[in-house]
Amino acid sequence: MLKKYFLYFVLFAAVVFSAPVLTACTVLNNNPEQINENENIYKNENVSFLMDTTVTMTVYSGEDETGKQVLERVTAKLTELQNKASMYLPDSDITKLNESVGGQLHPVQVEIHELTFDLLSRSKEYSEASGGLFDVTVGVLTDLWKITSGDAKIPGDGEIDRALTQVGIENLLLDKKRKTAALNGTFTKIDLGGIAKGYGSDLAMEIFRESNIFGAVLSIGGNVTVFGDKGGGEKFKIGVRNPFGGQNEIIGTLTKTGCITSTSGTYERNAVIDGKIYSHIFDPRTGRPAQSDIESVTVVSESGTYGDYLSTALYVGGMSKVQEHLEFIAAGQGTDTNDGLICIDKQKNVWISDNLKQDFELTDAAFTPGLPGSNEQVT
Amino acid sequence: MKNNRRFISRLDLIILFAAIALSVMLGLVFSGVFSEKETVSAVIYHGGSVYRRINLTGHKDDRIKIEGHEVLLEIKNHRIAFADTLCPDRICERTGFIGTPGQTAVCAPNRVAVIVISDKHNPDKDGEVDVIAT
Repeated sequence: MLKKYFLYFVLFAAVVFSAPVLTACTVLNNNPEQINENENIYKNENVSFLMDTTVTMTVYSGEDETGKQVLERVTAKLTELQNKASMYLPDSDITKLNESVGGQLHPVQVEIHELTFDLLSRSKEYSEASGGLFDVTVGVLTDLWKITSGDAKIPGDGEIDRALTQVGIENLLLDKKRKTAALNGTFTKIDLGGIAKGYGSDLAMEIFRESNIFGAVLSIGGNVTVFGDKGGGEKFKIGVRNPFGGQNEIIGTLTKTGCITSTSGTYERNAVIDGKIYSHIFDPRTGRPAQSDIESVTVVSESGTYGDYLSTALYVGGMSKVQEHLEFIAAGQGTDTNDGLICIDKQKNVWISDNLKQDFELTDAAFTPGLPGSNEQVT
Repeated sequence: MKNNRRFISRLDLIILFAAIALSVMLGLVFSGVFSEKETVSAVIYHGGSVYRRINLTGHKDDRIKIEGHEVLLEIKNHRIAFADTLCPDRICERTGFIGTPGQTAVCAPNRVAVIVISDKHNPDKDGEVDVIAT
């Protein structure tokens, strides 16, 4: 009988003492970076300020060190791009190119790094293909209007007309063999703001692809790159910003990977002058900030550079160009980069290309789905 | 006289298993698996590195100044916001208070970002996204 009571005592002691021991074991394993104890999934993230915007990145990997290395490699690559392609840094290729004009009879050839040359070549190609909706020679307009500087002003018609004489992609001369660029104008300026973030996203995607990681998500000022998953098959969820709301308000979610999103809209980076909102995106045809009839357009593409260009061009082109593009995709005539788009007009209709409908979920009831190919709303 | 009763009876076995089950349950409860409470923190980044990490769940109303910059953050009702910044666009102030994991507020001109995180990994929580396309 005594033995039995002894057994009960041992059991009671086991219950009391094992609980804290179990708890301690859990805490020891709960390394904040190791999010899954069974499958060794490490989450590494960082925030940096590059390319005149905020860059956030999260990498999921099987080894902690691998994730950290990927963060460092991508940050270093984006820093390199910023240092070579910014129009505001004194030693960048673009600054040197922009400063090469003025007073000379002939365009001055400027040596350009491989990376910047590639970006300039793509920019020229897209500018030529855009039908006047996109042009990287709008730098002179950026300087004239100063929309994002906090010191915006409405220039006189004469000033705008004079600036417009310098806008035109034919003014950017590229020598592929010598890797030089020149500007054929008296005060022409290159501004890669409408395409550089997308190009940076492509550079990051290349690093993600060649690294041994489960997945990664990168945001360069809202240009989002998603690769793989969070490990164990858990997919990334991208929120699509509500252009009428705050920074954290979304209209719906996109569950998709292996793609880059680029969004153009008026709601960020604008200037309010005499009660009127002026976008930072210029219409190269008028020399004025684009007066678009859409609130925002997001292009989802396998190419960030193309997507960034296309979202800017569609924003400037407005709803008619968006409709054209939706029909183009619906007819199966998409590009080899599988582009899709989500467009929000001023009446809060959401226009989604057919190829994204399965991946997109509209979560804000204040918005109504639009029907590609017509202006009728789905009820 | 031979004792026919076994040292461990069926009742003992039941008690043994019940004790083990109770032990496991207590362990799980202590470890927080069944706990609904989550700790929400705000990570303040300045210039690309972590400036300060604040437990919003347990933090009382407060004001935080980023040293060397005209940036004032405010904590109110377990949420955080840019209260006063000297920057041209003031987009950060317009963001308002944030306190849900995943939410961010950024003051790009001052190179300050605030990201709200949770100690719980909850992939299926409604409304939570990994990133916002903007």
